[in-house]
Amino acid sequence: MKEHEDPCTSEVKKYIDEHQEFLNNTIVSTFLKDQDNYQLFVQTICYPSQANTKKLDDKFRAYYFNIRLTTFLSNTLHFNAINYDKKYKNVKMRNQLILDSPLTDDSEYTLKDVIEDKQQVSSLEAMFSNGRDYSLEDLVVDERLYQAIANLTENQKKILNLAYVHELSDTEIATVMKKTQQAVSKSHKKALKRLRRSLNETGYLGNGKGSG
Amino acid sequence: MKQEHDLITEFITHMEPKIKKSIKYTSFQERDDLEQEIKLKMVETVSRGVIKETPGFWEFKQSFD
Repeated sequence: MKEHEDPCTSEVKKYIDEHQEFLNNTIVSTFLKDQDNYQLFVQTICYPSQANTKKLDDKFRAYYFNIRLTTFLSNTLHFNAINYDKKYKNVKMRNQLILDSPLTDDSEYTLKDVIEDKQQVSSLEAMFSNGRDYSLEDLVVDERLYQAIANLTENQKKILNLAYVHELSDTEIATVMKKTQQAVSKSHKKALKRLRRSLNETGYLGNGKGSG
Repeated sequence: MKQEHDLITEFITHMEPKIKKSIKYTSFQERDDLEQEIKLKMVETVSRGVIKETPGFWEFKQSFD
């Protein structure tokens, strides 16, 4: 390696002298500061084969790309950070966590006055349910259906009552009865099934169309 | 594709100190979010190919002649 380089030195020197401006360029000079790169550079100047030329070219391209990307990123990064902070502050300003400041400048209402209380609603619903004190059984005219309903459990009766008299959804029933929605759905379905079965047994559904 | 992934990972590791510095612009609770945001932006930048053709050694030299 060493004896290869020696006859080269003058040629490299000449090259360096000829291309002062290019080699003084910050990117080029830092690129050549790397020992491997410099070695490759010297090789290419002395033996400008296709392979060497291409190798140097690619190496430099990768190096330069790296620098450009890093520069670009560190610039955008900075502005990204600042923009993000601005955005966050804006959002925070618009959605303040202050409950008792006036809604608008001259409004007498504050945010806490207009917040919906979900629990309050369900207890209102319960009160409302109590207000309608007739149950499903009271509304049924058909004797066989009445019997069938009477045979249900208290729980099932209550669910059917809420579902059909008060027209609540399963989820709402669950809130009122303090059960999970799944449990309510299940009992609801079961109650309907049971009703259907007992009506079938009394032949209600079978000849209901024809005679009733 | 694989190469691109490696490139991005390498970059993010490389830029970590800078990212850490940048997230100081925002409040304490937001820093993790911002860090993620920035990394996402970096990935986008690389994969969108914002930096296009880079000249090779000889091309670059020609621009001086």
